[in-house]
Amino acid sequence: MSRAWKIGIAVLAVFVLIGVLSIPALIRSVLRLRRASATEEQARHSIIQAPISTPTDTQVTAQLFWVSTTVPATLEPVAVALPLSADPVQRAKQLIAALITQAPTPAQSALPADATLLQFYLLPGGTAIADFSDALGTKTPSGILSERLAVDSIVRTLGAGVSDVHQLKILIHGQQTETLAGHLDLTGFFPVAPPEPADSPVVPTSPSPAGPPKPVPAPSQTAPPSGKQPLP
Amino acid sequence: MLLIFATATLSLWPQASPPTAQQGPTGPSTAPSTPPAASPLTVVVLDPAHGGSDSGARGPSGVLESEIVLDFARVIRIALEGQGFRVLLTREGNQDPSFDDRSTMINGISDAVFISLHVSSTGPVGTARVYSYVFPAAVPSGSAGLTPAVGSQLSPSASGPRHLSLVEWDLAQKAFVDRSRRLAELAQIQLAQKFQGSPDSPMGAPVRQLRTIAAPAIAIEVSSVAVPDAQKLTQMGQPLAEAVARAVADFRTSLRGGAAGSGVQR
Repeated sequence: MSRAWKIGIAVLAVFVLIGVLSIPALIRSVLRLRRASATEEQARHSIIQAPISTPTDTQVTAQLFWVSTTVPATLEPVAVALPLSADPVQRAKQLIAALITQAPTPAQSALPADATLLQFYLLPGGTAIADFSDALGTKTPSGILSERLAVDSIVRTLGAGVSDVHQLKILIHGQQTETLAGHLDLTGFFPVAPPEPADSPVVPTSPSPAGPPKPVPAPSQTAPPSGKQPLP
Repeated sequence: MLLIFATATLSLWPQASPPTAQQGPTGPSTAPSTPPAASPLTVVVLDPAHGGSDSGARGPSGVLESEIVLDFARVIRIALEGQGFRVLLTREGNQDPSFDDRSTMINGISDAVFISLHVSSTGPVGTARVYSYVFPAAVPSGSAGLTPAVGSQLSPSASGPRHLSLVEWDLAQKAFVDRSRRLAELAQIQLAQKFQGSPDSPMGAPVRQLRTIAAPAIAIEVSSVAVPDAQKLTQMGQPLAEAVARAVADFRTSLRGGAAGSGVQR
């Protein structure tokens, strides 16, 4: 074997050795990157959707509408104790943030976890404009039923918790879009009304040994700060 | 952009119809006072939703809504043709016509209904729901520009022909919500019998495709693409077709009764 061949083999061996030694470090880097692979939406979520706190916050038992675990393809109200502002705009932001982030289980949320409320406006006369991040359109499962549940969960939660809102316009990233995820028409205004009596029964967030859900009394300003409120 | 199209009203309808045997080869010199009671509904436009690059809902096993609904439409077409209807599809293959392109297919036809076909991402597998359009709240004053004012159906010009009316394209469905609701009820009744677990009554929802349809229009959504095997969905095609054909035939019957009794006509 010539001297050149020996040198070549030695160089190759050095490269192979370097490669073998660097593989564990590469694997660690890949795993680290995977853990840190928060999407732009998620990063924005953590910044923008920081807990909203105002000086007028008081603990209120709010009704948040999530997907029912008992009746398929329907929403049901869940009593949740939240610090809510007296200012209707801030109150609406707090409710929608809770609606997105505090679902009892991921399957019960009609809204994608990545979605954020970018801005909320309330015009004189009760017209509200809710501007959501792109994720509301891109991550909501495509379909009439799922899109209807998503919008209904927002509308009914606002109807139960913010009496100043009478109709709602939904924007995606500041723009009017034709549909939510290909089906539901977002060009109009959605009427927002207080819940009907049929909405009153509120189910607990976890199975209760106390029997079937009972009607919840009128929202209390003095509810205990205990998060999701199990019924007696 | 606001698109407006003219549609024939009742007074024009007899003139727009082909001459009948009773009218003779040249037709009557004056229009009859009531439209003929025969067959007020002859055309069904089936709309397999999505298509092209828009596959719609996609299941974990790779089931694509756009493919399933096209299969559904083909089976339903056969069943409807068996009932004597002329059937048009908004797409025959993997194209993706716009909402307005699909609306254009039916808005020039005076005796048709529109049925949009969908498969959901969620919901109890093996069920079917029917939707008719509900118009959201009217636009408040001062918010104009976000959306056309609901209910602002344009009146014909005083100087224009009396037999023509203008219909605001974006609100074309508004004049048909009651008939769409009736068609939805008939369809949901049939589907509830074929698919256990389906609701007994239809739902109202602002489904975008239906808003610009100037005819009775419904959307049917089958659940769901979450099936482990596409075969489970395609097996629903035949009972779905039978239910739709029966419902449309019942709707035609109800129109005939209405036309004979009150002169109601598209």
